[in-house]
Amino acid sequence: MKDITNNRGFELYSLLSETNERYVAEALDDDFAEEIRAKNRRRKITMRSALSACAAVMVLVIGVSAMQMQNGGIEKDSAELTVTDEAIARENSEEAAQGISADAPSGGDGAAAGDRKTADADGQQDNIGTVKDKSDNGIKNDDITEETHNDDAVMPSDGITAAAEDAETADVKPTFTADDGTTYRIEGQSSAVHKGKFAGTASGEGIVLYGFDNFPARAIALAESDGNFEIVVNENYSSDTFMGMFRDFGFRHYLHSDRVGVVGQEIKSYGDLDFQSDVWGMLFADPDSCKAVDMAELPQSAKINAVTFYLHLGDDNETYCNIEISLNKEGYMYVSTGDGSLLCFTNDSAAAITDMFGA
Amino acid sequence: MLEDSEIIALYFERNERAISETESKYGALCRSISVRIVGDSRDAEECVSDTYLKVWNSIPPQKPDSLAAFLSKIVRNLSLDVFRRKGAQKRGGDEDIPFEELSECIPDRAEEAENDAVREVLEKFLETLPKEQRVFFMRRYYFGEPLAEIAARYGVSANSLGVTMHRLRKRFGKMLTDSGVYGVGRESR
Repeated sequence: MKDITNNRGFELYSLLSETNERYVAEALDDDFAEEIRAKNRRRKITMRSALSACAAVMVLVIGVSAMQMQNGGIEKDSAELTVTDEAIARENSEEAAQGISADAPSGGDGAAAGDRKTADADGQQDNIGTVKDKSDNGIKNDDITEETHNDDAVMPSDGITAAAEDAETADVKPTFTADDGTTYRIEGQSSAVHKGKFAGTASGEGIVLYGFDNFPARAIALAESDGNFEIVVNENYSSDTFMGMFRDFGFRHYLHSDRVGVVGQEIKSYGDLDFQSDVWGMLFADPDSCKAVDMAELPQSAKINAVTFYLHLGDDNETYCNIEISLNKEGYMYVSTGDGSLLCFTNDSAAAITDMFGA
Repeated sequence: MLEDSEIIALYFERNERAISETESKYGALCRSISVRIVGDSRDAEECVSDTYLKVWNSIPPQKPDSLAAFLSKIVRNLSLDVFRRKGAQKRGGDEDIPFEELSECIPDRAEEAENDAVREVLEKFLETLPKEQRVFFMRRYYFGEPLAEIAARYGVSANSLGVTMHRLRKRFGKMLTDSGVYGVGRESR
């Protein structure tokens, strides 16, 4: 039994007693509470439309990348990609679109683009936004250069296999070594969202996919909790930095490799909504056995049983909404909003996204 | 139920009905603040009773603008005193301890800090917050309310609120570090 009265947090907690009574009165104001509740009710209704577009965009990116992988690699460099219906139509092939959405209830030409149209709440085909190239993402790590964006570059995921294999027979190591011998120390820190499930600074049990030392964005680890793996993201840094990192590593991985898929998008506005914020989503997959586009295959791996994908809409000041897309051990995907309401449960990932957000 | 001004008037009249009216209107609030600190309902009842005595002895001459805030402060301080006296004794039951979260805000290897200096940073921090975030912070770290209850009160998801609280602690921690009140900067991580 520790004496937590010596805890400095307790000291801070105590000092709050001396704070301005006006702040105490604010917190007790029931009228203000109702005002906030009403605002959030309105926001939830609006966000559902935005989520439709966001998820559809992700399906589109998966489709584009699948087509590119089938065609033997990147045809675009890491310059700015503008995700528009026109761009998708230009890059997509009917075969790729049909391949990714073969099981989708609404197939057809440019199915992904069609879903995008369907997803628009107002029927408009909006320019969803742009994926920034790394030059304006705020990353200051000198190791991340334009020259690394090529197929021969050593990517951290190349060393993840060892960690993944080790995880089968041993506890997840706090480091992993890339093929070039660089060792990355894994540090993870849970956000408050995961408090109680994955606390502390260790990677926990499970597979560590990415860990970087002295990098603007810290580590992302998967930790097993209640039978699921969850993505834990350190929130010390702005989402811009995360976005940059994922675009540099994850997005590149996605386009260059069939191992790990990470999708990052920045959406500044949708329709009449101007978020002035980042919308970002991440998808991690088993680096050895799965294809990023086919999430349904993930659970068959012995190394990883599930992944959770978070889509966060919001900025540093407030969070509009979180959604969680998880795959469990049986290969079923379930999607829920941040408040836990279940939206979808299926074993077909593409159909799940389309069904849920395409209507 | 009487308005605060009417209850305060009873105190000024030295009418003991002031206490029963206070209990009726704010007894639950006081008990909830206390029990979240002391962890024991009997200790909490004692704190609440002591609170009424203190209020009786304070009004007049004091005439608080917000009786609820005034009561909250007194019961909170009394409860913290009880908690300190209990020392190493385990709090009963509830392990949701908000002040341990506040430890995240303090730099590693921090030196002793003057309470006044820290209080000043705290006030400045609260002042800079948007009202909505400030009430979240106060509900959690002044009233000790669980996140789920705060989330329900304001119609947000507990997950989202957790993210917000995490960011607020980070922001507060940065202010404490930048202010130098603890003598050292936070380790870069």
